[in-house]
Amino acid sequence: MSATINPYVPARVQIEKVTLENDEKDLKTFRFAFCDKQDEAKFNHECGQFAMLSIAGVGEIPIGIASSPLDKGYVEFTVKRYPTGLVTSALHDMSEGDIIGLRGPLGNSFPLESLKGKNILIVGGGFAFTTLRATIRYLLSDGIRNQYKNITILYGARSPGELLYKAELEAWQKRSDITTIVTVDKGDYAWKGRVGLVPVVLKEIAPSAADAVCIVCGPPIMLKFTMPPLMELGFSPNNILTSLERKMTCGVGKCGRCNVGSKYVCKDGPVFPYSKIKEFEDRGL
Amino acid sequence: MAREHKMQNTEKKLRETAKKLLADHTVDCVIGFKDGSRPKSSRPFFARNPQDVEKLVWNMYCAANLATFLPKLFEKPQRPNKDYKTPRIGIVVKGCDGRSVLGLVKEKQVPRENIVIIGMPCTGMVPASKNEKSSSEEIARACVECVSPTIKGIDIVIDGESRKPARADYARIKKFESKPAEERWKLFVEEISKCIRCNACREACPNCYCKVCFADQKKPAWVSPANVLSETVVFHLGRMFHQAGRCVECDACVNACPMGIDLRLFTQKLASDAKDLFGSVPGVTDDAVPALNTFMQDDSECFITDPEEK
Amino acid sequence: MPSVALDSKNLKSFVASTLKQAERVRGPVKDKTGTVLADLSAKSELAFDFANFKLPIKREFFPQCEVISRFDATGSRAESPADEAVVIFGVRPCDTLSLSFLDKVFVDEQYSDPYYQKRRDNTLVVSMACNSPAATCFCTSIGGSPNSTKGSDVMMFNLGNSFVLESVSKKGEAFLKKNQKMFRDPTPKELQKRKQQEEAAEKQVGKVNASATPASLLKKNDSALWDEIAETCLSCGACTFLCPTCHCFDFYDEKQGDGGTRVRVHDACMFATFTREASGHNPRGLKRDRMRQRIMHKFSYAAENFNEMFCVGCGRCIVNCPSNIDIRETITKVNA
Repeated sequence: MSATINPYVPARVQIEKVTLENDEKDLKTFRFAFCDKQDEAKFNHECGQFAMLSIAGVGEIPIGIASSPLDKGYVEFTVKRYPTGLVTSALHDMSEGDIIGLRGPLGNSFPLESLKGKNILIVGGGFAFTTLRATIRYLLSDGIRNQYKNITILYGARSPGELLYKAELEAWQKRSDITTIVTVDKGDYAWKGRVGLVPVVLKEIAPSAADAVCIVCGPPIMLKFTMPPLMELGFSPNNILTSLERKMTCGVGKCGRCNVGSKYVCKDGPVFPYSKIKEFEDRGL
Repeated sequence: MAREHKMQNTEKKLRETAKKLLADHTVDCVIGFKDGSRPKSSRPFFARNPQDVEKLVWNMYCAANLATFLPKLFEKPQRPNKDYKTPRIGIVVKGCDGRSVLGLVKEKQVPRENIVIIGMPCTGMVPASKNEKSSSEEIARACVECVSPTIKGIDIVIDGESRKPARADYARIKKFESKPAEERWKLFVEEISKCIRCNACREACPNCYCKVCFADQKKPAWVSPANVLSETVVFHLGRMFHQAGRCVECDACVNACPMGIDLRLFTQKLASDAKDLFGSVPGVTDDAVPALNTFMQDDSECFITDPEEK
Repeated sequence: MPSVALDSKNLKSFVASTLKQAERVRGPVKDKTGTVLADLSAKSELAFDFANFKLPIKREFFPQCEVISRFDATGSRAESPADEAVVIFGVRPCDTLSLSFLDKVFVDEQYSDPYYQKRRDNTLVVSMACNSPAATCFCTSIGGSPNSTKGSDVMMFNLGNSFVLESVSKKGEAFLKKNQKMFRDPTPKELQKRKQQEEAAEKQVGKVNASATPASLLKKNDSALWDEIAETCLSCGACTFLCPTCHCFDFYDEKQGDGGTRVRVHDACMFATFTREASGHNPRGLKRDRMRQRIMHKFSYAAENFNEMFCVGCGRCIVNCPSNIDIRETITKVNA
């Protein structure tokens, strides 16, 4: 976004496809297409960035972009419905063909350029897996995959029904150029895969930290218990990246709402190295 | 000079009382006043140790209503740790503040057995000046017209001279009500247009303790935070209707308002109606529940059948 | 451009001339509440014997509420602030200093706020040096001064029988040049009186030891300190709404039939629900965390991000806080 464009006015996007992701029926993936090709041409996002989904008359919410920058012609978001949420509720009640607004891409991104030639460990929990999915899709693309060494994915959800992107997970598990480990906190009668909390499984698989960077996203409780094993494996706080979430209004660092310390999650984040998170925690922020 | 001497004696007695309450561990803290950072002002103060009481003051600048702190202090934490105990709090009150405290007890926001109400003698208060250059020594109109400088139901009464209660006739309100509707609306709009929607009135009011204020609700959104006339009107009228039968005319909202809005126009009207329509003077008449929290067959319905008439 | 002088008896014709050059001219006039900033007419009696406007000047550029866009079935369209040239008289140096801070927030290379920017571009700020600061002023302790020209376009000095005017910006210089037949050269006596007034005002302003505050705050992680400072805070927002540098805002959609407007409104980090998320999680749900945020934002984060302390020492928060929480005392406590 350049300084001459009004950062508060959304572009029009149409819902092309709605996919229900989980058994509890409160997670949906929305595929949007830009109504104006010029807006589409301007929208060049990077993995880790987010956008404001804007429903006129209702409000706006910041949601991580779940599709890869190389997925052309559409942009995807996975949104959880909150009963008290105005926008999430309104969005979940919408169907294919409905039009909403989009402001973005906003925020910083995972520094994938600087990770070239390295091993990447991607750890995700619950519905925080969305921007990680964008990243994995991107990394697996032709011409991109060979720029990185080993890629390991560890993804866990509370139960099999709550796993996102089930078809893609299955496809990734069949590939030889990545290691994909899926786990659930609690299995069900049909589940034949791993059972175990993400931090526990992480210790079991013990990926090497040599020449590796870890990108981890998940609910605060999962992050709290995942950081110690990561560091025990040898990942330094500078080599662990995560993504923060806060309530936002403007998305461009002006309304003063989403800051953690002197950093705005919308502008200086949402991606932060764990060393920065530790700094925030030490200052009690 | 003589009055100052009396005030100092009262102050001394207050400090002794507070000291004893804290030293005996009857209360965990005493909420009172200490000197303000500007001349002719005071500020709320939480005395937690016996030595803190030396900071407690009592003078004619103690206008604030300290009852506003109570609901939050008695709010049980969502996940109380095993050491959690309901606090015991001593609170310094004038007549009006005392009525607020008793009102909060009635509305089950404050457990009566956990508070020690310390009633002070009140000769009227001078609110802190919002104009940095001038400051008057004029007793607030609310105090001149106060019907309850002292009240019943206090735990510890600190001796001293109080005002005589004014005769409650609400002359200003009756005069206002006699004006034609267009004139009343014009005056009302002129006054309420000063509002900047800062919410100081709401937060200063002891009765405004709702966890989610109607004005902040989003589902549904009754009113927006914008200060355009329609929204400002709905906010103030809404807030005032929620005070009906509960407002004690303490002037907390009037004093908190940075824009000097004459909110007393509302609070007096509420008090006048509570008295005329329901025979209630909140905190003074010992109503079992606030007047509008219950329905009696003989409740006045004039506002439905004949809104222009009393 | 050298300074010019204007006799007080010619002030009205100066304002009348300005009224012909701009769509709106605003300045200090007296009403029954005191001195207020109001639209001027040729008949207006300007009143300069006041400490400061009750409300901060930020509201002229960043209003409490404004429509930022309109939406209907065909999409959203940005609303534009009125294309009107505005001149504002009587702005105090603390308020113009706040504009120089807000410029940094709202106008940057990455994202610019077109609403603030347009009003700023269209407005000429004529500030007035302070002759008698209030007891609650402390501008000189945080990088300001009763004579500071930062953020202003033209500076005026009130000498009683006359004014001395000085251009600060190119816009201000052009304005003075346009009106130069109203002015004359200041006499040496006038220039001397101005200097004396400047020095007297600087001496008179109250002092607080604030310069070490950003460094001190980096070490202040102790919750007990913030519990103490915030103990009597009502979480109301009076300080925020009256503060010249506070800029937090929210968007609100107003439906009107099939369409509607998106409105920007002032908001306050002091409000309990400011950071509350739909899940119910609230990062700053505790009052002490909100108080810490306020102080940190002004004296630590702004220092880190913009090399400025976002406080202009105007004292409005001190005068208007219902619990008389005094920011001068907070600064002192933090630096202890």
